[in-house]
Amino acid sequence: MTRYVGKRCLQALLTLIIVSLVVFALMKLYPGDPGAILLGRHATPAKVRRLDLMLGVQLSWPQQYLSWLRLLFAGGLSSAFSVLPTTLLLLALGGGIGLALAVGLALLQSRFPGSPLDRITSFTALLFYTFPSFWLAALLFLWFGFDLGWVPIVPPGYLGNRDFADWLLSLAIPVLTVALTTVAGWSVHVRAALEESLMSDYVRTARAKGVSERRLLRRHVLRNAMLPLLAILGISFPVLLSNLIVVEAEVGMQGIGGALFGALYMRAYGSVLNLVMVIGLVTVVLNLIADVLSAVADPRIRFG
Amino acid sequence: MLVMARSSQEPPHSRTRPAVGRPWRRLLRHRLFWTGCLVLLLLVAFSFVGPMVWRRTALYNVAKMLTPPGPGYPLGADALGRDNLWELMLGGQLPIVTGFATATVATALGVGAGLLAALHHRLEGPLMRMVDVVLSIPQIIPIIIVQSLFGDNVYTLMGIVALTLWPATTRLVWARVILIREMPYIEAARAEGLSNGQVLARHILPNSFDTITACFATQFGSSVLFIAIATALGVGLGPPWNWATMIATSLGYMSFNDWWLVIPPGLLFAALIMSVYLLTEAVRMAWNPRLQSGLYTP
Repeated sequence: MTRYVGKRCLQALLTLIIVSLVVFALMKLYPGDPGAILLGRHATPAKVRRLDLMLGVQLSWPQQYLSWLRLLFAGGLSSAFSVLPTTLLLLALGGGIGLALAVGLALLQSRFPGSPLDRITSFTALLFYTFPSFWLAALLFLWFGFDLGWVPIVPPGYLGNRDFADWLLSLAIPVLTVALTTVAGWSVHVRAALEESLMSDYVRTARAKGVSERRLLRRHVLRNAMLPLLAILGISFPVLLSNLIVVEAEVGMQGIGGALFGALYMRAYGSVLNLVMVIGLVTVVLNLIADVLSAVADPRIRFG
Repeated sequence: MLVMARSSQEPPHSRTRPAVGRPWRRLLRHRLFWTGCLVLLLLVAFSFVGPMVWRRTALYNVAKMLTPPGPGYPLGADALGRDNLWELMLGGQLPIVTGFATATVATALGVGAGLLAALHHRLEGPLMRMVDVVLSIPQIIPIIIVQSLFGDNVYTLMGIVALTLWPATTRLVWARVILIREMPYIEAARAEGLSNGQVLARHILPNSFDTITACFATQFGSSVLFIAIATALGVGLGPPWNWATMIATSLGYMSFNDWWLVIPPGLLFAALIMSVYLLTEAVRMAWNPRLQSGLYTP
């Protein structure tokens, strides 16, 4: 077990290093003065010269890479980390609700396969899956925020009103959008796993033993159906994060998305790169956690 | 007629049992196929033939700005007084073309890499490592970075979207092909003396057709979505009309009163992605009727 986790951690580290190399390469490939580029609108000739020297344009590329890494750890990453909690909360809530909906939907559909309920819910889930997330978020925002007034339209805390209820409500739209657009994708896999479990030998044995349907579902079928779900979850983190970043920036929450697009708009590419590194870090860590959880749940992965 | 039990070792499709006849006929009888086809053809006609039929001008007509749907303006007018329906028609051309182009490239790359990874032991490690690295970043990030720094045209956009999307296909294709390569019929084919290329064409590809088609559907949805997101953020497709820009600009009017500006583009996106999805589902089910899974099985 420890060996598997250790191996996965090493792989994650390697991935992060490669990501940082690619980001660095992109930075170097951009024509122009690195100091001027990183400072963006705040650039003055003196600052640019100083930043250039600090970045070490006179050094060789490997040394420049190392000095950039040093800058990252010195202050870059921590400034990006400050906006992370909101995004992580949205991710957890959105993913959690989406997962719950997906499992519920799959359970419902496997109870009544082929029924009108099955068809309607499948179609609706698919419909939401095909909606562009930023469009759905905009619609919900316009409807619930502007027209109905249920959800705050100004970022909470912007006008100086630090109201907890307000903040809580402002979470609603990104969470709802993310959850609704991912349900279909996950419910398919849950449903396939459920059906496979229901047809397996151990279920047949349990039924022959006289185990009640409910207990059967809870103890055996669901647990075994969760295993591939963890894998799917791990794979869907990047798409989930992508959608979340955009939606969150759209409704004006102060998370990674808002920070990223703000920095891009201001042409402060230094911040952009820091945020990108943090996002990469988050994705890699989440993947790692998902993999380790899968290994904990399924011994075949550890020893297979 | 003697009904023989199908052994699981028997290849569903191979040259000795040509799959050419029956899947086509099954496909043509499939309800999903016709629905998907119809919607897709309608959308293509709407976008490419529509503007030729429904001629409107791009000139501003500020007197008519933000007119609700009514006589003369079936879907209303935008903030500059131009006909919304006409804009919607023109707006579909870019998403449809770029969506298909990007999805095809991404699927081709992904399938190629997946086959290579599954069939060449030396390349398997590096390729799957590359897949892991690319998949560990949210796709939107490289798209935005590359587009805002390096390229502002359609081609770089399509390129970078394809480059971020191909690994998803690779992983699925690889998982499928490593199962196929262990099958007895592959061993039998090699024993017959078939070359690598022949084994690939006659056995491996037909049996992974299901996975590849499913991947294309997902890639199409993802391509259209990411191109739309990039465009809505301003780093994607340029000035010529497209649905994503229409959504982005309509948000500026910040009210649901102008619903005719906000709602149709998103619905058209959904129709586009869904039609391709239904089509590919029908193709998959026609190819292998034993198959069950899909987003819309009923």
